[in-house]
Amino acid sequence: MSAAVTAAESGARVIVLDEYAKPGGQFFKRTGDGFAVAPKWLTREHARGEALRGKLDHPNITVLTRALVWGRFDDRVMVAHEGHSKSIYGKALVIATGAYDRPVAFPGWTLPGVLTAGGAQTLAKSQWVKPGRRMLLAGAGPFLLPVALSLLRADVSIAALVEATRPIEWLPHLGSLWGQWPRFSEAWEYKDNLRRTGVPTLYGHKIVRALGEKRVEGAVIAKVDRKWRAIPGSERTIEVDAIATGYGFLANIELAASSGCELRFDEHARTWFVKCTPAMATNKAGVFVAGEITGIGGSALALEEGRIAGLSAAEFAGTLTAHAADEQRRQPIWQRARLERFANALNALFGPRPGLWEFLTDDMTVCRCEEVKAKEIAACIANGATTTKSIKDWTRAGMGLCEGRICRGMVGEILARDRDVALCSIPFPSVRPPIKPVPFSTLLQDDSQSESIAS
Amino acid sequence: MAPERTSGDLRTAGIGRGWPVPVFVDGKEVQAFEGETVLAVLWASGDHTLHTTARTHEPRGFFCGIGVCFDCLVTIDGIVNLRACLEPVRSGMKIKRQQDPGYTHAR
Repeated sequence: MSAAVTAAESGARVIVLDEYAKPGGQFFKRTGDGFAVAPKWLTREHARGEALRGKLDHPNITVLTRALVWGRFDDRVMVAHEGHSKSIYGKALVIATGAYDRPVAFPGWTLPGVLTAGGAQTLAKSQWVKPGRRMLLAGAGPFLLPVALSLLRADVSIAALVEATRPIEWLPHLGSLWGQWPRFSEAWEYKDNLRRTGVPTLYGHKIVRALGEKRVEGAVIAKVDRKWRAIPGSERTIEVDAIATGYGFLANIELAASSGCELRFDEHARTWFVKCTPAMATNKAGVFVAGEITGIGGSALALEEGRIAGLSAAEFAGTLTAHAADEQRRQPIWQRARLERFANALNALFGPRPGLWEFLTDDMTVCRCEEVKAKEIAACIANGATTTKSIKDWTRAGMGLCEGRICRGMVGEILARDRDVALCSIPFPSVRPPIKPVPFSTLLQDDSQSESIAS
Repeated sequence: MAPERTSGDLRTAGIGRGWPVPVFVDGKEVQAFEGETVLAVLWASGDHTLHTTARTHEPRGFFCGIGVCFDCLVTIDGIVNLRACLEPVRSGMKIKRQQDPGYTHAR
């Protein structure tokens, strides 16, 4: 949204293609039409999201929602929209496809009621449906705090918030967090809310098992060591009917990757992002990026990146002179550098540690779509597989409808572990269009048009 | 003024919702509210098995809730494998919980 508004204000014509029913992504996700929610229940980002969405009402901007961009071929992107396929031409493209919660397998994680933190929050804050009556929140990092608040507002009782790190581990990082006072006050406000509602926070713990046959009936948590390995004998059971986990994020880089954009591996987040210049340009001429796909950093950073990418796209499309673009990029580039330092410190502190993957053995389901177990993947590696591609061909892990988004990271971790190689040496698997499943009936309804867009 | 709903399902009480719209879940009429997703309607009912898997017939609910994981697949008006989390309800919509791979259940 930020890129679109900036580019439009710089004179470019813009088409916004959004897979969801409303633009704004996850952070600014709003309640569905028809809901009437008292202002005191709305999140602090609600007003900002509405204000930004309001700016999309600009004569230069066309918004297409429920529009799935399934590939990019040269200077056009392919879109599945309302059962039809369209190709849309643009001089420049800004990709801002965001991120999703990192999937983490543990015994029972496929039971109905085991959710990602983001999924639980979405159901609570945009649909006002309780993911469970009494929930456990487990993960690492500050994102669990707003999730907890959304759940409390939706009248969910939270049995505990389970954080894998311990405050003492935060101390060495305080230097890099210095000066980020708005973030601290935000975190304090969230914490204060938890305290007042009596939600206990258990540091140095993680989820080790979901109990139940057909649905979640309980959760087992355990103390962890510094590598997040469960300490035997420290387990305890908590009665809950839903569990949400939030151990960081993976970026939706499939569109960028299939467009030929160069990627970079992030050691702290142990996953791949799109490589870009300070002007948010990728190695592909005319393709710019913004937000979480360049690195996990939160909404404030994403907004600055959107501004920069919008200016760069307008410059590339010719509606902004290079001089003006440079001038206007200076301030957001400076802001971005400042926010990125903070994001990097958080990623270093809360990034996944080896113990998170200790359950990737034996009968643990790794690929949810094709129901492939860890031992099948391990056997395949023992038989000589050295790439995620050969594991996919052999075991079908990653061949299902999610196209590997859920299991890819964990398959990589198993491969790195069993072959004793660095995770960064395992390339991100090649992605080909369609990057998400599109029915043939949609592809056959091709009403391609030539629309020129800037972003 | 939109009606409010405070009964025993998983919808948060005291939140104003859209106009009631009838939908059919496995042939049974269920009251949904305009603005809700299919996932919200199914989850609110308390039956959290959205589909069962092909290989081991495990029950599955939703996982990511934002259109990434393809675990909340349902059949809507005869179209299989739609993500319940992204589909808004429409009056008279016929929703089916899927058993095994959705494609064997196309009608």
